[in-house]
Amino acid sequence: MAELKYGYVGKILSVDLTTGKTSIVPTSNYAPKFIGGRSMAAKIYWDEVPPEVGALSPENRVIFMTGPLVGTFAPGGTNRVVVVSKSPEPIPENYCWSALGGHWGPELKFAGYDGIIVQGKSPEPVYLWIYDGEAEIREAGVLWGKVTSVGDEELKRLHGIQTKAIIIGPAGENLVKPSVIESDGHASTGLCSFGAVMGSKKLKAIAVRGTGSVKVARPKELIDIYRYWVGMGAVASRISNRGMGTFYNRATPEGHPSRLQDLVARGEATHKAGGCWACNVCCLCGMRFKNLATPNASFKCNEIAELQQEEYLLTGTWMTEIGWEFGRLCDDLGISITQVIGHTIPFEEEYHGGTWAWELVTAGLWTEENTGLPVGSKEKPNVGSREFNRALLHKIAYREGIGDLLAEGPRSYLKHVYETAPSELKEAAEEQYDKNMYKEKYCVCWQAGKFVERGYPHWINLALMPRNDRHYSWIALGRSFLRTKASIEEEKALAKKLFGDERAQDCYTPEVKAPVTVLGQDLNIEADSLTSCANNTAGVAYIDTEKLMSIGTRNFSAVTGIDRTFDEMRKQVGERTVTLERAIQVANGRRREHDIYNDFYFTKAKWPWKPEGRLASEWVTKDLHWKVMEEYYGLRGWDIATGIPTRKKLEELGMKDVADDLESKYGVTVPA
Amino acid sequence: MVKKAIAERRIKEVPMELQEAAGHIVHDQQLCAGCRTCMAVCSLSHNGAVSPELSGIQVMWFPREGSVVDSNTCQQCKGPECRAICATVALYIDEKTGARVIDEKKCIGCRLCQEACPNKTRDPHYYGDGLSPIRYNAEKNVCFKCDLCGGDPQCVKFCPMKALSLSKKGG
Repeated sequence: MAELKYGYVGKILSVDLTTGKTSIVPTSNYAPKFIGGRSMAAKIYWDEVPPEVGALSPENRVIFMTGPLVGTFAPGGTNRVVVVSKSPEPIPENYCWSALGGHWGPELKFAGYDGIIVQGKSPEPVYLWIYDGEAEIREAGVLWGKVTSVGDEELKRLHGIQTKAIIIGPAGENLVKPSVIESDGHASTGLCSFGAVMGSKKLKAIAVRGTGSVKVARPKELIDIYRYWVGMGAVASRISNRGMGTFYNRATPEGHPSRLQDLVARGEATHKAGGCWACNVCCLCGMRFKNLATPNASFKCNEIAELQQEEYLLTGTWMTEIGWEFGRLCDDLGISITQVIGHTIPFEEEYHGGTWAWELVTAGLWTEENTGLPVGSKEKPNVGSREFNRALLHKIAYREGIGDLLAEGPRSYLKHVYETAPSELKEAAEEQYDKNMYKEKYCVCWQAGKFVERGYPHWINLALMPRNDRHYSWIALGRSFLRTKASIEEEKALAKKLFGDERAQDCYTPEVKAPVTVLGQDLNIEADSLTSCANNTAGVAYIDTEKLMSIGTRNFSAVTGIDRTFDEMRKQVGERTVTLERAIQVANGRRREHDIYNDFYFTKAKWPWKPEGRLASEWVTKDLHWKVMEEYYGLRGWDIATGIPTRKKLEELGMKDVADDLESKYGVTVPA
Repeated sequence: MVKKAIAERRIKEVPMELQEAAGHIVHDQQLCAGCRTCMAVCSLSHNGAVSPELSGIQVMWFPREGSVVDSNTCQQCKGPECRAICATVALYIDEKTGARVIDEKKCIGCRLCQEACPNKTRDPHYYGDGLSPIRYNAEKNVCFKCDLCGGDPQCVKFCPMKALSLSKKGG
């Protein structure tokens, strides 16, 4: 058994809420073979959650896992906790992972745990209190039913101001599908409905306080890496001007200052940066308003960016208090902003996504009578207004009236709308359903210093996603090629070096995109396993073009003292985890024929990017898709006919037990 | 009272004509984002392990209040009471920077210096041990405080928000 003196703190807490017992699993059972975060959590999931377990059943596990870099000084936003569980959100229910940042993960490690595995279901609402290695299941009492901010305050009052907690809101308690686990008002597991999974276990919160430490094998080297990384300035300048990126970098497309910037200039509000543990970017934006009707808040930049974009399209104003309050309400109720945003604020048509609240009203499918919401009239929709937002979110979180249907998620709700629509509105309802089935937003590539939406690797990732309407991972090409000022020529040279073909640089073409996707996934998983931030993770995944070495690998070696080369990391972390996650899905019934998106994309979808003036749907055909997918299967060592990982590959990656289990337990014929 | 008596005795025994510190760490709470990079690098560079408890600078972040920050740093006082009260004379003045430093070999971990510090935790009930600039290392049974890193404070160097600086003169 390997010795894990550095980076890891050595213990994983296992909690059974049914019996009320806690036990300790040594981290060395899994690490360093499965280095941590997503990699380790996937392995634990494989070991403990068989495919027949329902997402909201007591047998399901919710696994919180940090990586060896969490709570250290390693650059790249190394404060994330990966959460893995079977999610009730996809149809059918499936293995999913999400993550949250902030200060909870580091606090957990200072308290002496690398991760927590929760199973069972408590008869009464409870919360978990961890103080320096001692874990205790306590009655939630008045906490149950509280919004997250009040619950969090209560926990801090009980256990001290330095307590860090993750908590679910009323949405999670009421098993609302778009629900999150929230931490400190600024971090949450945006996707996968893990709030509902915690709610189903009657676990309100996990409060942690730790005074311990995380040992680092080579502190000097780590400090040097940090300096090197900050010196690169690659990420910091992309998403943030030394913090506050969301505030300053967001002028309107026409160059006007945002509404919030206006307010600050007039002295009606103040703003301030915020940051997760030891982050070199600090992209959070905290606002305080003089007008107390608007709550103070601190936001993740992702959330605010989305709010801004969609708000602008609706109101013509950029970053207003309405959007702000919307976000804060979502945080309080424990609803996922990214998933509910589509209910309220329409996108432009090209985003063929969540415009439907607006469109349902204009199509006459939603009226004040049949929804009980202040939706306005067909001619003058009130969607996106303050009162509409409040009413809608409240109804969803407490499953009142129409909220009970909406709480099952947009997809199933739109199906319901379609099924119940009067015949003259059937077509409009079908269109909404089609569009929303395939909405995805995090699909950006990075090319020559700017974002390119929906580059080709995205489509490969999209086809492989375990969550069937959300990003599998942020996109490949971007992360690997991320340099703030790289020119196209530089990128082409790097593409040639990495893939032997400079066509890999072009996001718009399918050529050489399978290897790009493979590299991108490996880097993403490396970052998610170590674990580091998705925004900042370019930092960890970034490849030093001279040495072909990722920062993540260097970080890992300096922190744990276990030396790894880049190729070893790719194989042992990226490839192993992708293949294991695939095995989990294969056990769940996934095969090659599921690795495709709906006909809608090949026929009707208006993809917003138009290489050479053509709509993507005009040139991306099913044949082309399968050609690229086969190339991908080949590179991953999966069977081309079925999409199942081959025994040879599984054994090569040290997962003979997985291949055996697939055959003996789940009756899958594993190709040789 | 007892403390004061001890302090008076110490002042008589140990001459108080002290070298002034080159400065002290100044923390701008308005610029600070609460990421606690300073605490990470401080504990890492001094202990080889990261722990907010063992950092010479203490920052607390309240994101729900619109990213408000509270903090505490050693002021490197002219007449340091921590030094006056120390029974083993573990507190010495660094020749180069004038920083008031705890000698781990002499420190017996009695934590009187923590108590004596005029800048200690304001409201122990509310903050716990959280904002005391003198820290206690339970593992080694010694106290630890800001030593200005020999004139090149790491926290100032690595603050991503440039919220930290070294003041020109001591407290």
